[in-house]
Amino acid sequence: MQINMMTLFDESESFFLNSNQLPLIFSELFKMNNISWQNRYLNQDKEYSHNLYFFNNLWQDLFNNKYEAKIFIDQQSIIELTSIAICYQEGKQERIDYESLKKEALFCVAYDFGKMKKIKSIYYQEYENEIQVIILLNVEKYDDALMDSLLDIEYSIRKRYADLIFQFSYPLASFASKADFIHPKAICIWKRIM
Amino acid sequence: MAKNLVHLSQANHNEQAAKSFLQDTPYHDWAITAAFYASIHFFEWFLTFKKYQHSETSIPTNSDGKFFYTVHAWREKLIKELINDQYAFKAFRKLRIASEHVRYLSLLQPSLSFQPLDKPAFEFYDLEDASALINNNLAIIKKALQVPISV
Repeated sequence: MQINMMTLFDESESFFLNSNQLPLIFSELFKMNNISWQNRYLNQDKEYSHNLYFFNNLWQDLFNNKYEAKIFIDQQSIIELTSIAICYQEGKQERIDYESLKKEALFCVAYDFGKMKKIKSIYYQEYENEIQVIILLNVEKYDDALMDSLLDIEYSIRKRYADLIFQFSYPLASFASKADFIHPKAICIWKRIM
Repeated sequence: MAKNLVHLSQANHNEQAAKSFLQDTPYHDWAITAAFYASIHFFEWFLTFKKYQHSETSIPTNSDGKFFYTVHAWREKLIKELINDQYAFKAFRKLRIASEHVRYLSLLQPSLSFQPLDKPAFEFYDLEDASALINNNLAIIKKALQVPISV
């Protein structure tokens, strides 16, 4: 079955896909981004609603830095994108290349940290070999329990992606504009809709 | 003095400084920073017994001679992998994050105009926070590194 992705993108911004269509669609989508797809996802038996147009543009823009930091992502999209990335990770047989691994890891960062209510937004930037993840916290008082939870996630990501060099920071943003803490070239990978 | 004892001595000195700052409010923010530097020296003491010897002199380089890690990134990798204790790793990270907050933080007021708060940034951590951060996390780190109690 051949799927013309461009036709799909042009028709509408939203699609309802059943479990039979989904792997094929994403197979094509991942090929476009030079990432292979594993059939493990076929085991899923549920319907998904995906905004594929958004998905594709998001994917391209995030990692081509086309629009610099002017990307807004809703949480549900990230959860769905990340679930795909995780399924991919679980099914993979061989180590994927650095760029693909980085993308996958950043999806997991967005997914895992995005579940925390006190997080305002998440950015990343790169310095030499480091992936610097900046997690803006919407807090005005130190919260040790929150730090425990954040560092549990950080530890798990560092273990899962031990080949990548991460540096995590947790600026106290409250409602601050990102310019106060974030380099203008830093890329937003998750943002809470206020 | 042997290299490992110098680190242990400096670590203990920094820990005492941290406790001293806790008695001297409102300078408890510096207690957090002193405790972070105590934790670094405790780890460097521990590292002298390992093949890496010191975090700043063992950073791997690329084929062109450039450092593959920054010092902080390399040290945290060593902490994660050599100690292999999630609680100890979190204790290090908590002290580093808190010390960066109190040194660099510019907390902003939650308003549409993003006005700075009318209080200094270090008030984000009160004395109780600072005391708990220091005592709990240094204890976890020292236990994980097996720092001699008598020293």
